[in-house]
Amino acid sequence: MAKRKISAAQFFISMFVSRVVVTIALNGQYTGGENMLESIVSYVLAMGLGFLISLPIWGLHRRRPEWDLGRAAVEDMGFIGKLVPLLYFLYFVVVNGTSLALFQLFLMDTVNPAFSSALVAVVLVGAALYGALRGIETIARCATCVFVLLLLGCGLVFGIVAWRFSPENLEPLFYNGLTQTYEGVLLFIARTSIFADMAMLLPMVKGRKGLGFASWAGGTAVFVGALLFLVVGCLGRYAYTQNFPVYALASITQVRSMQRLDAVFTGVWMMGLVIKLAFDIYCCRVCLSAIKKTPEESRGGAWVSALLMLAVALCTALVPWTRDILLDTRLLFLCTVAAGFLLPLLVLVADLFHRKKKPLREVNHD
Amino acid sequence: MEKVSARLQDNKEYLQAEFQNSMDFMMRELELSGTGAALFALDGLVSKQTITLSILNPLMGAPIMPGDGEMKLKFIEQNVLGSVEQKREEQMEQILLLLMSGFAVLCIDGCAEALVFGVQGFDSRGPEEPQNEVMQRGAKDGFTESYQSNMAMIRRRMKTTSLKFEKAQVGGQSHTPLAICYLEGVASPTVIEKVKKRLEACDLQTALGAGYLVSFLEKGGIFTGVGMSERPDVVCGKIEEGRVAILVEGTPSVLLVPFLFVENFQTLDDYLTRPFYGTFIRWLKYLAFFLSAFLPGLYVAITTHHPELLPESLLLKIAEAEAQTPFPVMAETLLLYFLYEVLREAGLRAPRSLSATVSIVGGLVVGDTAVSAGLVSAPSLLVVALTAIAGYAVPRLYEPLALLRLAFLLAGNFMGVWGVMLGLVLLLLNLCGSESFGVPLLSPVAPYNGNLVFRDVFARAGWQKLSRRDAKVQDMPGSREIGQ
Repeated sequence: MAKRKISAAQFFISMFVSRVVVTIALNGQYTGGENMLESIVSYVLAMGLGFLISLPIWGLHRRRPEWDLGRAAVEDMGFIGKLVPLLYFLYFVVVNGTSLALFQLFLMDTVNPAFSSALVAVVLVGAALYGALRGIETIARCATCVFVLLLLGCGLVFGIVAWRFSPENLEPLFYNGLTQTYEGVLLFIARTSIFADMAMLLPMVKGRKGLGFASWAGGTAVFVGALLFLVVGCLGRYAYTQNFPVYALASITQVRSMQRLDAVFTGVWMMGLVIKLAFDIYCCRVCLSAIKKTPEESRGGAWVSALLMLAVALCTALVPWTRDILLDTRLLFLCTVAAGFLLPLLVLVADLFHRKKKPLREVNHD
Repeated sequence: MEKVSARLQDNKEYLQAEFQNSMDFMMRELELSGTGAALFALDGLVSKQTITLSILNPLMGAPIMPGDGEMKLKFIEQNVLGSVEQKREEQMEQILLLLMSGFAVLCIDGCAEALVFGVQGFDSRGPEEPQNEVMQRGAKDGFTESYQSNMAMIRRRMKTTSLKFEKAQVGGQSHTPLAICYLEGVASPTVIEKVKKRLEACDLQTALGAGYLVSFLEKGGIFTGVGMSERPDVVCGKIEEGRVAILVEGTPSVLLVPFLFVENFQTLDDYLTRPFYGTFIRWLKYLAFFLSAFLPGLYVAITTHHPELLPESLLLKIAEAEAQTPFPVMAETLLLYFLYEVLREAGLRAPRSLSATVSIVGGLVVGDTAVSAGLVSAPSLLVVALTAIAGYAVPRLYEPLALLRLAFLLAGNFMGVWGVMLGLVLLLLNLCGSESFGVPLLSPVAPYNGNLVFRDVFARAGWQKLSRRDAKVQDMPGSREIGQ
C-alpha cells in the first residue's frame, strides 16, 4: 500500500499558511481595542498558551505514535469513544465554515465583485475538496508552493508599503489596560485549528515534529508581528475603522506600473484558504475513518464535510443571527480549547487506564 | 498451438491457407538429395539477393546429404548455410510472426522443425536531424523507424555492458516489437518491472506508434509522466540518470519513464552552453510557460474585472482600442485564439506547397484586416500572438498548454484574477498529486530538495558539479519504495 506520510516541514508550512489566512481577516473589532499593536503581545502570549494547550496531544502522540486521536479514542473508550472523532468532525466543519464565511463577508462588504460571493465560496470548497480527495501528500506539496507565493506576495506588499510607515502612528502599549491584550489572546487561540489538525494528522507526519511546532509558533509570531506593525504604522487609527485592515494596507500599495495590488492579495488569500479547507476536509476524512474503524480515509466523508462547511459558511454569511453565534470569539475559543486540550486530555487519561488494564504488548495495533 | 508438421505437404497447405489471397507470399520448392523442401518468405520484406546468394545457391550446390529430413536439416544447419541470424523453430505461430518480420523459412519433408533465416530487406529511412527537437549545438542525427537501428544509435554512444535491451512485444494483431532499454545497476528494478507489467497489460490490437503506449504507461493527469525524444543523445543522458527507455518499432521517437515536470524545460543545448547562459535560458522557458498559460486569462481578467491594476496610460490605450470593436474582450480573445489554433493546424496538415499561402492568409489577411476592419483590437491580437510564441519556447508542453490557457481564459472572464489564481491552485494540486512510476511529477520542487533544485532546475550547475554526484531519478524526494 502506498505510504501516506508527509514531512514535519511540509505539515507545519501548511499550518503556517492556514494561520496566515486566518490572520489576514483580523480587525480592530475582533481584537477588542483600537490599538492593534497590542495584538502582537497577544499573539506571543497566545503562542505560549498554545504550547500548554498542546501538551495532552503530544503526550498521547508519544504513547500512541501510530494512531490519530480519533482512532485512539475509539480503541480506548469503545463505542462512546466514537463521539470524540465525531466532535472533531463537527469542529472542523464549524471552524472552516466560519473561515469561509469571513472571506465571503469580506467579498460582500469590501470588494463587491461583479459575481456572486456564494459562487466564489462554492468554487473554493470545490478546489479544496479536489485536494482533499487527492490525499494529504498532494495538499502538503501544494501548500509548500502556496507558501512560497504567499511569502513573495506578502514580501512585495510589505516592501512597497514600508515607505509609508510613520512612527507617529504607533501608540503606547497597555494605555487602556490589559483588556485588549486578553481579548487578543482569546481571539488568536480561538481562530487556530492547528491543535485539532495535529491531533488528527501527527501520525502521518515524519521528522522533527517538536522543532516544527516551535518553528511554526516562532514563524507565525514574526509574520503576524510584522504584519500588525505595518498595519498600525502605515494606517494608524484608520486601521481600526476598517473591517479588513490588512486588505486596506494592500489597497494602498502602488508600484510604478501597477496601481493597486489588492486583487492579487485577495487571490493569494483565496489560495491559502483552499489549502486550509483541503487540510481540514482531509481531517474530516480521518475522523470518519476512525468512527468506521476502516484503515482507508472515507472519500464520502470528504464530500459530506465539504458540503457541510459550505452550508455553514453560507448560513454564517447570509443569516445575521447565525453569524452572531458562530463568529463569537468566546464560543470559538471554548471549541478550540475543547478540541486542543480537553478531548486529548480525556483520551490520554482513558489510554492510561486502558493500558493499565491491558499490558502494552496485548494492545491491538491493527 | 499449431506445430510444424513432419510432412512438408501439411506445412505448405497450412502456410498457403494462412496467406490465402496475399500476393506477397512466396514459396520456392526444392529437392535436396531426393527429399522435398520448400523455402517461404514474404515479398517486400526480404532481400531476394540475399536469399539467392546466401540460401538458394549454397543449397543447390550442396553435396549429397545423408539420412532423413531431420538429419538433412541438421547437416544444412551445420555445414551448408552460415547465416548470422539463423535458428530452428517448431511453433507455427512463431514462424508466421517471423515471416511477417522479414525472415525466410525452410521446411524439409520428414522434419518437424523449420529453419528460419533473418534476411530482411525492406527499405528504411536513414538517420536525419529530428524535426521536432531542433538543437543548436547537439548532434544532428535522430532516431528512425527501425528500433534495431535506434538500439545501435544508443549503443554507439554508451559502450558499456551495463546497457541492456530487453525484447518485448505489444499489439494482438500488429505484434509490434519493442525494446526496453536501461542501465543495469542504475535504473530502479522496481521501475523496470512496472514498465514490463504495464506493457504486458496493454491490450491493444494494433500499435502503430509509441504514442499508443503512453496512456498505458501513465496514470492520467494534466501533464504527462511519460517523456518522448527523437534524439539518441538525449535518450542516453536520460538512461544515465536511471530512466527506462522504450524503443518501439515503426516510431522515430523513444518513450522515457519516469518523466518529471521539470524535464519539459530541459534541452540538451542547456548542457552544451555555459552554466550562466543555461540558467538564463531555463528561466526564460519558465517565464514563457507562465506567459503562455496565464497571459490571455490575466488579460481578460484585468481588463474586465480589475482595470485598477493597470497604470492609467495603458488602461486608456486598451479602453480606446476596445471602444472601436463590437465584441467584449473575452469574445475577442477567444475568437483570436481559436483562429490561431485553426491556422496552426492548417499549417501543420496542409501540403508543404500550401503552407506559405496559409501563413500569408493567416498572418497578414486575417490579422491585419481584422484589426483595420475594427473587428478585433490590436492589444488582444498582441496578447494572443505573444501567447502563441511563448508556447513554442516549451514545445513539449504545447498540448496541455493549449487547453490550460483556454481554461484560464474562462476562469479569468468569470471570476477575474481570483478565478485565474484558483485555477492555479487546482493546477498545482493536480501537479502535486501526480506521479510518474512512483516519482512525484513536481519533484524536486515539491517535495523540495534544495541541492537538486539548484543543481538542475532553478539553476544549471557547471559540469564540475553535475559530474560530481549522479542524480538518479528514483532518488528524487518523495519517491515511493523505489531507490530506497
